[in-house]
Amino acid sequence: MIYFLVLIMSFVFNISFSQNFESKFKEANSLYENEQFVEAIDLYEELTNNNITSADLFYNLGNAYYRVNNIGLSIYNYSRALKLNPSDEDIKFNLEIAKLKTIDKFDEVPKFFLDDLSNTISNLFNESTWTFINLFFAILTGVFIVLFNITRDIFVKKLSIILSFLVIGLFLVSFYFGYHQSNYQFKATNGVIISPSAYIKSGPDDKSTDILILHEGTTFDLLEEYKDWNKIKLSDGNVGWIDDESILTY
Amino acid sequence: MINSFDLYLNFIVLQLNVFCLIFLNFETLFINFRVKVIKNIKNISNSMKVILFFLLSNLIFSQELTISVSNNPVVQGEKFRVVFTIDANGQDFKAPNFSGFKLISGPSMSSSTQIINGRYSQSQSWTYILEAPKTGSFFIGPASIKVEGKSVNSQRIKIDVVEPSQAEKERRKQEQDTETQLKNEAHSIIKDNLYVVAKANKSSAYLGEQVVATYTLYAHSDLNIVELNIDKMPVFNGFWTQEINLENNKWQNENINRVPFRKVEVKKVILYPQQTGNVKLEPLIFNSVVRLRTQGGGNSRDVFDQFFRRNSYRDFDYKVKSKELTINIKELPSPRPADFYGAVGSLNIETWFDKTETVTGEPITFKIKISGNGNLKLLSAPEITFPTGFEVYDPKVIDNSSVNLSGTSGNVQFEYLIIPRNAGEFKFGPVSLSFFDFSKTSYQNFKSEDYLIKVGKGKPGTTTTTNFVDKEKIQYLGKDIRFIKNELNNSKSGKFFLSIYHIVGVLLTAIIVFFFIIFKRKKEEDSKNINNVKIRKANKIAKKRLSDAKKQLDNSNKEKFYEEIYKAIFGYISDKLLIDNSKLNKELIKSKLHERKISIDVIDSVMKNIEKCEYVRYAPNLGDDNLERIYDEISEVIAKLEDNL
Repeated sequence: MIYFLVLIMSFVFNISFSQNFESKFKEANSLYENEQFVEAIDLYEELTNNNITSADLFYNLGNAYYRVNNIGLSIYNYSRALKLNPSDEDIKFNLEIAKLKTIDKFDEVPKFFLDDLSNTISNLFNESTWTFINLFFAILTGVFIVLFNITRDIFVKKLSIILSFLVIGLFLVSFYFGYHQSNYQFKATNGVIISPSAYIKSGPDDKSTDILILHEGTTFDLLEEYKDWNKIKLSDGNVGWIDDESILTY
Repeated sequence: MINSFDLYLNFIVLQLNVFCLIFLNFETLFINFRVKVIKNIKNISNSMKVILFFLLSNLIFSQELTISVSNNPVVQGEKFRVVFTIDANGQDFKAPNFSGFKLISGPSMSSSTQIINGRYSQSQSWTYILEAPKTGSFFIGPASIKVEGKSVNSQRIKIDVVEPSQAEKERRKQEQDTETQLKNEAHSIIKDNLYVVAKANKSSAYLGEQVVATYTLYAHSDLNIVELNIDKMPVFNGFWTQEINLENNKWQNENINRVPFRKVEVKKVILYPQQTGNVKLEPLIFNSVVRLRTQGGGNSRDVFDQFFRRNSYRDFDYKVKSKELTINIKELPSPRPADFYGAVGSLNIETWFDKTETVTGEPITFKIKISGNGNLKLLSAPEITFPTGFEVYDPKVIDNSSVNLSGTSGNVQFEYLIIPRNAGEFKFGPVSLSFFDFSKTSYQNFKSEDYLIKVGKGKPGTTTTTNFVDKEKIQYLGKDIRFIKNELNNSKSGKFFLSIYHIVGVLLTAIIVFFFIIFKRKKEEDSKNINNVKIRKANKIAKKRLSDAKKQLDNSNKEKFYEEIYKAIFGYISDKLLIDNSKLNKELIKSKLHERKISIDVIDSVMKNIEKCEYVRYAPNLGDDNLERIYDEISEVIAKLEDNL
């Protein structure tokens, strides 16, 4: 009961907080429209420090960084936005434009088609949509189970048991994609290079040999973290280590 | 009077003729000219005209090409002269073919014109000097010449070449021997007094190690050298050479074995060996003519020589040739270091950047200075690997080295211009270079310090040179990013998946369904229990009703009896089959009992008794009086149903 009260309290607090949040967001937008990009960035960044995350906020911040020619941070914020809202066309488009301005170009290694398919499906919706779908199927399963128990009609009974199995399957599938998407969205799985250039090392220490040099805006998959070092995989399949200072992960 | 005039006239004609010969070589013009001359002198008396005409026609028509030979037959090996003569102005002389003879000289052409006492004569001659190398008969074919458009040929003559006499042969041989002997003697004398010494400062060297070769000409101070010129300069294959300028070198005196000599350095060259093995230095060759005093020629047959030319001088041709030198060129010791670029010598290397902080697009220069004594002129720029992201231009070479006798010294500087294209901090170095030091006979290594180049962001536009952009993507380049989002739609405060809402939602559904099922099950259970009781109690109730009926039977209350009996059987079946009393009828009972696989006899008996009860209930007076039998039958049927249900 106390827990329930806390939940309600936090919900109410959130509403009042988000009103403040929204007014600041609008303020930053008007700064952007007046081409005061640096000031807009400051305000957007202040907003991102709250525990509210928003694809639109990150998208606007990415735009502001793009306008001041900071491609690395622009790509970082577009990527964060796309994670939160993987189906947004504007985010996809601007990320593509920003990536054209990067220096490193890779020959992409084709991914395993099942991985690719799984990613495509899981990126159809964001994490919360997947969760709603999951909840919906959970309730639908319950409905069919109840229906099965209530009815005396043999046909309805049969239909409801088939449908309940189907819906249980969909529940599990949506749970999988929700889990996948939630992991992708809330754990750092990717990163972008924000320093103008950075060395990729063969191992997680300064003495290791340099494998290659990457430039601002290049994105990669994050495989592993060890102390201040990150094991990364580039889209051309190269794997190496890079220190924390020159990257941001999302 | 006539004579003098004649002379004068002839002179004019001659002059005109010469003029004509020189400028107007065509006969038609010549003839025209003659007519002109005649026209010009038409005031001359007739007799004069006749004379003039005679003279001119004489000039024109008397020609013959004659051949004369100085001696015929000719002795083998002797020279003779062949002369072709014509008494006219001829053109286009064609010499015959002197096959079988050796042409010594010729043709030497001469022409002469004579006017003696009015007689005009002109002749041309061509002289050849030939030698007959072989005996036998040879022909000199006709020569030809064109005179006034006509071709005039000489005769073909036969020349016999005879063997010289025995005495002549001996004389010749002796002469030749004397000559050879004299030459040999002279050469042996000259050899010790005029020579070129080739010298190298070392007989073996490493590849690239410099060798100085000097060619010095020595001549006896009293030797009378008439002519001296270089026949062949040495070519140094297998070396890169650097000549030392000797233009100002002068003759020097030097005593060799107490004999005064003059010497001069003819050629001095610094050699940088380029191939290994025993490499030969070519000799330097002079052609010289040396004048020596001959002592009368004791063997000379010539009495005159013996007596009067006792101390005559003679010039001798002599080839002055230096000795061939061989230098052993050794391979540099292996293994060669990877950073060895061919630099050899005692060298000193420095490297530096002009600045280590720059912005994108602004070039910086990396410099390597190699100084000291070595093969500086031959150095090629070391290949330096700069960090990626720098545009590197071909290095500029600044050569401050000079060549002198001790070798090449000074310094060579390589300047690498690099332009940063991307901002950032770049580590560079250490640059490692190796060279071979001859004095230590080992490779020396130079390692520069590490450099850190800081590249800031330059003006926009100077950066981002994308090396390759997909063709597909190029069409995007002109486009701009899309505008910001004005409404904040996609905000949220955290994870929804596996959040409390999610979990509670799912669990709540599960719990609701669970409790619903449990509730329903319990309800079913309860109703089931009631039925069981009904079924269990059915027999009891039936028996109770039967005993009630029995009482009515005893009281002979026929109506009541049938009622109790009817209730007993109906109620029993209703309880057993869990069908409500009100819904029960005969057809249902029949079908239900059928379902329960009750035998047909029992069903018939049940049906018969029910019918009988109903019949009696609605028509009491017509009832069967054998109530005892009915009671027994019903009891039996219920017992049978009890067994089977």
